[in-house]
Amino acid sequence: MSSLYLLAQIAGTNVAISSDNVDSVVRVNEIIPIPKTNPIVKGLFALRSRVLTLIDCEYRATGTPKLMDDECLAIITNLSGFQYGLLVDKVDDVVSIDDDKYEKALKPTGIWSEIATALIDIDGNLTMIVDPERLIGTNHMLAA
Amino acid sequence: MDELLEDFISETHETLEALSGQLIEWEKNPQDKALVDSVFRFVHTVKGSCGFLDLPRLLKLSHAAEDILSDARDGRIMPTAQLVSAVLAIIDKISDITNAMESGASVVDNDEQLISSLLSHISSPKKDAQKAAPVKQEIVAQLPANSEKPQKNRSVRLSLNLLDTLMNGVSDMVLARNDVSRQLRKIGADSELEHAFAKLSSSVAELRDAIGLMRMQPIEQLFASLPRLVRDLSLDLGKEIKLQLEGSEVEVDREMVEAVRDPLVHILRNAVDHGIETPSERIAAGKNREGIIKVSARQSGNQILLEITDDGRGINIDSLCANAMERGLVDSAEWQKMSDTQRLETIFLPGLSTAGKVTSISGRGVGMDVVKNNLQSIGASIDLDNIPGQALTITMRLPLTLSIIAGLSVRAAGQVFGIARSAVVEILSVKNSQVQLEEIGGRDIATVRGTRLACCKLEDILEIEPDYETAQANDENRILVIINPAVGAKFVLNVAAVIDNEELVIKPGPPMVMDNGLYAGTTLPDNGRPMLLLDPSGIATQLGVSDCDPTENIEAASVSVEDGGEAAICFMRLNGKRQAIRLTSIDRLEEVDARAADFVGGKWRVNVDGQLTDLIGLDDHAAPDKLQLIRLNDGDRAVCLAIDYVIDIFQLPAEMIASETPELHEAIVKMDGEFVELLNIYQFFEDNVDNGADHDNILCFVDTEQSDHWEKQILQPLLKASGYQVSFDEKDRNNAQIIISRNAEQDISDVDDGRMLVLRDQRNPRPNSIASIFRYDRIGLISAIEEKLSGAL
Repeated sequence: MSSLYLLAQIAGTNVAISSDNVDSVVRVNEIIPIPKTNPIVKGLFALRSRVLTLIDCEYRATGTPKLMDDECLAIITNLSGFQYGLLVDKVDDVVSIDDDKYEKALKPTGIWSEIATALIDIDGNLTMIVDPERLIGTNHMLAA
Repeated sequence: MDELLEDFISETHETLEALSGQLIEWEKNPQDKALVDSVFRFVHTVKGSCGFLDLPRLLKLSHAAEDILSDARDGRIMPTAQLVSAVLAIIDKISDITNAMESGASVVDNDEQLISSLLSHISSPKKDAQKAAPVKQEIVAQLPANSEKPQKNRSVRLSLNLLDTLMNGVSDMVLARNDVSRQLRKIGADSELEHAFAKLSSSVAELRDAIGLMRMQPIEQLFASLPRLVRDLSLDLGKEIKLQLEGSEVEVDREMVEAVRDPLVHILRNAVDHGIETPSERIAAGKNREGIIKVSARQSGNQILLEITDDGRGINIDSLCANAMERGLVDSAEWQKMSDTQRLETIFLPGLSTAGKVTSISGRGVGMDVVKNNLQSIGASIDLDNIPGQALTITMRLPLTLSIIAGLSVRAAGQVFGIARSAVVEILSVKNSQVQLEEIGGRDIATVRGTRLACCKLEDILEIEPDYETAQANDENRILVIINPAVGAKFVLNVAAVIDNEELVIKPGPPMVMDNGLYAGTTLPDNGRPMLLLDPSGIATQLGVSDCDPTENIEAASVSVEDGGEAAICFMRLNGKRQAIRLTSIDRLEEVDARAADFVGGKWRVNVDGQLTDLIGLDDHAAPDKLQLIRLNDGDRAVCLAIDYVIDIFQLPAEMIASETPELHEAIVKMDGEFVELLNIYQFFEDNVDNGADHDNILCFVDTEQSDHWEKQILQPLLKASGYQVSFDEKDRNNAQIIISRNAEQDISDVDDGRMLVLRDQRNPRPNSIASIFRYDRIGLISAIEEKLSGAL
């Protein structure tokens, strides 16, 4: 059994996100900051007449806010009725991954264990399988 | 056709469609309690609607079905397959009759037969079972005949999803259009292209407006059917009720109107039936004969509040308790432990009612539980405020999803935020003299016309770094927005600027954005940049005024009304003299650019907000860059007094020293140990009165026989400047109070007219000519007119 994954990088780490969770990948030009909110929220941006929330994945994974360039790449995903953009360093490819190719002996550690479900070898690169719901998930918000 | 009837028909059709699956299920499982419940609710709704629409046939049918179902629900009879068929036969009949009402056909009246076959189940559930089935057959056979009738096509029902898609599509189109417009400007398109684009633009705008309207509708639509409902019900019950509707202009999502309709009707029906007493009961209770039911809608932050208040008997908690226990919904131990609110809320338990008897209007224990379920399914909540014996207020709080609100956009540092305009009371400049800002214990206070309000910079609330370069320069250009939140006391928001007023489509933000309680949602204004909508109640909480009583804003000790007598303002004149003026004669203090003042038309005048006002006190003194002005007002006119700076406001002492020049100075008063002159403002108005401002309706007819150049170019402006109306039209001769002529050699007969003034061209009168005035003798002419008017001549 295999499924499609989008390969990307968050904070320099290779990640894979199931294509089921990905609407599209867009370039975000203008970000409107949200004062006094959780630092994981980078701000709001407009996409096709809708307002989306931009999630700083780097902050989520490392605790350091991502430095912003003029433009950035975001993976658009839907979660409980809201649309989010996941801020990533870059997007590489879409690959098909066999479910049984997970590294059975390794598990994500530290904060990554909250957001990634498994490790997998893709063309010799170790990659984290990231679940957007855990990435955005609100249960850790209280601590932040 | 009657609009209410149409509503009823389409509603019944819809419910029937939704119910059809459950009906089939029910046929298979007659014992299923949930199915019995939903069928019961349908029949109950139909019964209620029929009651007030005056449809006796349907009422009878549904009432019968409801009786049986109620028994089945309470477990008094077992729902057998035969009973189910009998009920289904009734429901089919209801559907037939509804169809017939729509197409205008008639339906065979075998209602009694159906009802008796149904009621037979009560006495002996099995005996008459055979009878029910054939009846049903007969009805089914009738159906095709009805469905062939052409149906009137009045409107199309669309799914809201489709509307949403359409709306999003149009919004995308607007953004694309904006993009194209930018591109066009960049390449400098020719006029033909521009013209085509303008056409496209306007049709896109029209389309968007139309789509917006599709989704939104004023709650009026919901309110429209209520007066009739209340009237009919109260007639039925012999009660006198006045219905007051408020806030019908509040706009809500179409979906919301549909979802709220049933609960609102239920609550209203309950209020009429159980809440309001009969006139005799009311008089006995010392109330007005006529009961009042008030339904009001208003928007409050991100909610719409729908309140239904009646001044009836309220909910009797004791009978509620007895009822709940009788039905086994609570036991007495539980009841003891409950708080008052919890006790009151047992009214939302399924199968509970306080109605003494079952009527055709309401009261079989459906109602409040259904109402609550319906409301919860759209994310709304319901609260009760019960004053036993006196009143009951039911408040429904509806979410504001996808509502369009009138918004105000304000700027804090470099960022723009929206506020619902409904929460904004007033917008003032910090420079406005009616506002004083002060600070105590780290809290900013704004005193607006004597009322002290908590005040805060929006940047501070949101913890935005003020952008220092502009902040320094603009500190005095900031704007105060007085806000009245849904919860808590009024407060003042100090913002960098108020940008715009626009219609905003509000969508809820994701949970982590809404968590801090400061935002009511997100929106995408026309410029395509997302904007956050501020939640006034949330900011009130942040400011710590949320638990203040909104009515208890302390009136600041306004200096002028305290017992110490009148207040005066003491200031330094430009000539270095210390003087004072009574505060009551001051309109406001103002600061203007020195360039706004000019010596024109023989005196100093100053241009304040586009209006030219006389300026006093500047004279020959070197004007500073900025002029401090005191604007004085005598009720009709204003003059500005230029001063150097304001020293203080003080209480006028009881002892005043008389002045030698009372026309200039009312008195000499002591202020902080020094003596200052209290100016008599009379002088400023005395000298500066525009000539004859009251002469507006006095008409001068100017008789011009030959050339009228002089009259039009010179005489007319002079008369107008003195406040008279001027006419050259012969028709006005008779209406005019004054007639002026330059023809000194004319007939004597005309001179007999007492209104006539004759002008001459020469300085000195010719001998033997009629009395005349030299035409350049301005003062002579004006005083002659005045004398004529006062009848002295």
